Amino acid sequence: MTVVSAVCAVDLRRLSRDKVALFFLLVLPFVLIFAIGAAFPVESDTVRVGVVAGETTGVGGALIEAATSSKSLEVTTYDDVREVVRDIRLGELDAGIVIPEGLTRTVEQGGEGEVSLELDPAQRSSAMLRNMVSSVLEDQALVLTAARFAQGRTDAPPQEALRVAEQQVRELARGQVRSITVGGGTEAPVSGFAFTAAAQMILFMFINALAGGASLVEMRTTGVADRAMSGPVDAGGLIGGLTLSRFLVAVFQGSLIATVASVAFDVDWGAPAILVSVILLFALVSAGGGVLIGALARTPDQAPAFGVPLALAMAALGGCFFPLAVAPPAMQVVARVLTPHAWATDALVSGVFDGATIVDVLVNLAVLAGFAALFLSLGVVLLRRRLEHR
Amino acid sequence: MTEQGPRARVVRCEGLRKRYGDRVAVDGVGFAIAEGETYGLLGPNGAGKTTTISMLCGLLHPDEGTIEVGGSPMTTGRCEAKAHLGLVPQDIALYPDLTAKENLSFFGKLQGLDRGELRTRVAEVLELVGLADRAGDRIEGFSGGMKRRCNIAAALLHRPSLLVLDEPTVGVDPQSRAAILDGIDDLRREGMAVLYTTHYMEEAERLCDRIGIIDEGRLVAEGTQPELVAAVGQHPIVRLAAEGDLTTFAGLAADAPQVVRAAASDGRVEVSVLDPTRALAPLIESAEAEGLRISGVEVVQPDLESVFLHLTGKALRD
Repeated sequence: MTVVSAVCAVDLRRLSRDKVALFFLLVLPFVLIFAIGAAFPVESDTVRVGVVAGETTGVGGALIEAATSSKSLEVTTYDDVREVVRDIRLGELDAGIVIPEGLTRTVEQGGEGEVSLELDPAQRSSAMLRNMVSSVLEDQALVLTAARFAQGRTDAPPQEALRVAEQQVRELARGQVRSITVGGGTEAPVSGFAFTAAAQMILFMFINALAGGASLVEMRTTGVADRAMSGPVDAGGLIGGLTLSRFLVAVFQGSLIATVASVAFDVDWGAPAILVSVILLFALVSAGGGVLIGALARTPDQAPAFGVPLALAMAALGGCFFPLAVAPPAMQVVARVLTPHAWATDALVSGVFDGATIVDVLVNLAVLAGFAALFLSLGVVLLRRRLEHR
Repeated sequence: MTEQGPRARVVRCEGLRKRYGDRVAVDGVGFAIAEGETYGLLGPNGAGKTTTISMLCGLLHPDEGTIEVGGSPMTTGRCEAKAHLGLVPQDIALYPDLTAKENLSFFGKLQGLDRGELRTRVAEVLELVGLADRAGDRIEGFSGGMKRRCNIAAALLHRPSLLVLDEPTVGVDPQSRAAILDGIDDLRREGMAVLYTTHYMEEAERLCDRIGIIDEGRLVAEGTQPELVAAVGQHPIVRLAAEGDLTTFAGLAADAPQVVRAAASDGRVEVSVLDPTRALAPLIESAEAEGLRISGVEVVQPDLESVFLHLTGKALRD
């Protein structure tokens, strides 16, 4: 254990003095998260609506109640429709609802009431607002139709017919269909940085581990390994120390990105168990990749020269540059077969966007563990062969 | 050179063989080194020196043969024998971005030194190689000679009884080379056994009590320098620079007493003699009698270079 910790400690100390490695570890990921994340701003969850209420009971009251009770609307009452239009133009409102005076009475008498919407066509929320108003009007029309039907058949007083109709409509409403928006599993708005942070975490954990394979090659080629192994040190001790340092660097990288993204970019990572599991398992995958490249490269320069382009290619294929969901199905299959990145990113994104629990991503975690075992065993076997059989 | 006497044997290897495919890299090499003895392993590039050293240090498993260091068998895994051995690789086996002290502390930890002993030994070996005042400086800022000295220091931390040096003065300035050779001589005097490979014949002549000459994987000769010279039948040479009929004089000189052979070339005559003190005066008298105008006389004792050339047909740096 002394050998493993000594090798690990000296590797980490050397890393702490490597300015290029520190730039890739501490600076570049956050520059990219900021630059890419800023291009996808936060989608606001509230629509600012101005309401001009010609009546506050009946159909108008129902509309006002529906608007104020909606979590998606921020309602301000206005006296004049011109003020609503002005504020929409000034950007202080997203839309306006104008409820005419006597709307309920007009509808009750079989006339056509007209609720007007003042909309900013640039706002994507316009359609949502139109649907909401239509839905309330349809509900109210249903109540009034039912009341009129009951009154005609039973000679009941109008108020009693309306009460019974409202009660029946409420009963029906209990069985209404609940719509779920894909990718909208969390209550809070999803930060535009969320996907970028998850993707950059996976990208940089792997890329830095592969570039760090240079230290393994250096140990092999400078005689440091020879000197060590001519003493009471075997290849296992050296490999263990170097693998541990690659693992710790990857864990540090993942944890740092998770923390900074959470604090500085307001990223909600979802279930902590998913985040921790993905960081630990992907750190093992990365450490295995680093050992593998360290065993295959012949000179220290070859490790980053081959490792970085390989890491970038795997990241691109594995959905770190764009969501894998938008790729053709065949490419998604290829990505999942060839890269651990696809599984890691998918698990993180499920936690962030869909509110997944750790049970939902167990398959992802199992596959990551498989990739880690594959990379580590291959890397260790090849590196041991390089060290022992010359 | 050391005084003779019964000394404990630190290294013994017998019948070492290593084959790579069809090529035999080492073929039946064997030698022993006693405490306080410096053994030089000389050979041209590709002769099998590094393969022999790798097997001796437990970095390479021999196909045949046995190795004992400090009385324990050497293997490629962890073994008692390795505790007795300090290796100075040909490359600078240090991390350039760490200080001398950090490098030595790292290798000391690998040797299993505890914290207190580590601190003491790091300071001692830095003092020994004259780098105590540069302990906190990074290796990348050192001169070639300082790097070599630090490279040696890293092999001394655990007080090995055998120090293996693989061409430790390559690329070093004369001043640093002298300091390194003095340091190795001091270690030998303190009782350390030293295995030394070099391309520099003068280093071998100065340092080594015994020398093994290796060529094409085989140990072709072994002994002290006088023993090697005698064994290969090398003789001192009297070299006369002169004007006149040199060819005729060479023919006459070849039949003279004490002369083994004589030849003329490029304005000089080279005469191999049994004893230059007895042969020199008659040769000069004979040359003057033949009308030669002598402009210079030189007596050359046979050295390792000529022994090496005789045995291998190559210069050491080939």
